[in-house]
Amino acid sequence: MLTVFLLTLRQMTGIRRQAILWLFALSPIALAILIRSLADDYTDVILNSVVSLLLVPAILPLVVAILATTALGEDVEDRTLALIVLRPIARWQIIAAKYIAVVILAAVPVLLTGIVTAAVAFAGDPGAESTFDYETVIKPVLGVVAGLVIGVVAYSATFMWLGLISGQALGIAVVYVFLWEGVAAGIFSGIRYLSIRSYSIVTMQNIGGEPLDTIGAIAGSQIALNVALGGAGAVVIAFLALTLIQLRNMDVP
Amino acid sequence: MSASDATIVVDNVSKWFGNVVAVNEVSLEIGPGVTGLLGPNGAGKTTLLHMMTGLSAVSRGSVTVLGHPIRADTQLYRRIGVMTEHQAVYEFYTGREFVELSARMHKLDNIDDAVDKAIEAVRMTDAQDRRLSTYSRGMRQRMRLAATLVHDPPVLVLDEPLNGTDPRQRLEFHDLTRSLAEEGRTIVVSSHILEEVETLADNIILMVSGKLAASGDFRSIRALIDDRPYQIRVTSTNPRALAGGLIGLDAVASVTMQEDDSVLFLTNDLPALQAQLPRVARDSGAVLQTVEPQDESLESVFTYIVER
Repeated sequence: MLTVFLLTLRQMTGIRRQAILWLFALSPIALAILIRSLADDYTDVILNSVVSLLLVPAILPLVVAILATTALGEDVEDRTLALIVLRPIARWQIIAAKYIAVVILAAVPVLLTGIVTAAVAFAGDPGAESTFDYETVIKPVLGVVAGLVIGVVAYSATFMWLGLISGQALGIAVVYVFLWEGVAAGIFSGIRYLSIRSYSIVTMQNIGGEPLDTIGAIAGSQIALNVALGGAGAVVIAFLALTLIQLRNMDVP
Repeated sequence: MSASDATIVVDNVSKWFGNVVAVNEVSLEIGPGVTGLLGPNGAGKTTLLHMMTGLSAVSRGSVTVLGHPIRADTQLYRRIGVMTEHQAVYEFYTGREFVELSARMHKLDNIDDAVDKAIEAVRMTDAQDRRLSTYSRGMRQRMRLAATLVHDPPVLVLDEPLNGTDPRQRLEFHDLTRSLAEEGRTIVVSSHILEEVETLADNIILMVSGKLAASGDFRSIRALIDDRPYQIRVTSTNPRALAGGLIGLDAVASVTMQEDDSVLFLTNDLPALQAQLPRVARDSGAVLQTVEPQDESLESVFTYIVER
């Protein structure tokens, strides 16, 4: 399993792909710093624009999609999947190794961006007494981190399965993110129960507390934390199981 | 071969993709030695090999390797080495790293020794530290073969292993394959080139259009191929006189005049005809313009065997 994990890390850490990924992932930080330098009520502006409209609905799912859809999808496309499945490695170990690699590679840039963006929004001025206050700074930053972790693990499982079943996985992932989680969830309130974005935002709010309330107001994700965590867990289990079934039953090219 | 001797048993296997039948009710048994899986492109060789190796599920029937259903237990791959047709490699690895990767996936005890031995067997020691992306097709094939051999499997399935190799590499491959077979291994080698398998395989499995056309000793199948009539089209300055001359030859079975004034004839003795045709043309006062074999494709050869 370690061999497949290390192989997957190597496959997905090509310089060009990582450069694009990191530039894309880190863009909210630049925006947050710009807003803080220009706006008086920068905390609300950063939360309502950078976090609510950019980081959670776009950067998080797209960074994960770029990595997760290629974790198995690229092996299918390049016909290198046979090099793994023709070895004495249980199928579940292949999937677990690939999944962990995707989660780690996606989590690093996304969480780094989340932490810095939240810190820019909540941290007091340098040298001030409230610079790293727990309730007003550390707790909301932890909330953002927790929400992003939920998003990374759930999207990773979903998009990794998508990469295995479709050669157009990245395109389908983008359509899913913007149509299902964006447009459809905005029109039909029930979809928030079936939305990874909702699970992520609800986790942020509940862990981060009052300073993050406005994120939920914008995204309309008022569901209970246990529903969000249970939903995310169900998504992870369901899509990893689907990936395992697909890998066991498919004809490997 | 009795079932107990067979390493690979394919029992009434079919594979279809939608309405297309790729492999149709094939049954065969393969034992130790080199077995050539022969057939034209599109005959179903790769599909059959994919089912033999567990890459593809069968639509009907069953495949067992070393007595076990191939898709039921991934641990069976400890005893099987498979080299697929496509030249897929991880190009960011060096040749040695690529073989090491295979060794690690097999959880070998002494990885360095196993890798050294496999790379030496394919004579790639000098180039082992170069990236795979810099290799020629032949070198890449050899390193893929090393990765297939690294765990010393008793069963080897090699799909078109000579693609991209030069004549010297082919000879080396033949020597290596023969020596591996002499150690008691079961080796299946597929090819669409008759001559490639001729010198290599003890037994032949011949596939045409998804069906098992023939199987057994190579010499008997080669005799069938050599016995088939050849169809040849000739254009000349005096086709009618040439046709008249050809009718009198023992080597010619039939002669037909075509609408474009060419002559089409069948022969069962190609060497005799090659010797006699210039003389017949001269005696007929005809100057030969073109002499074209009409059905030299491998598919037509195999189809002839199936239709006999």
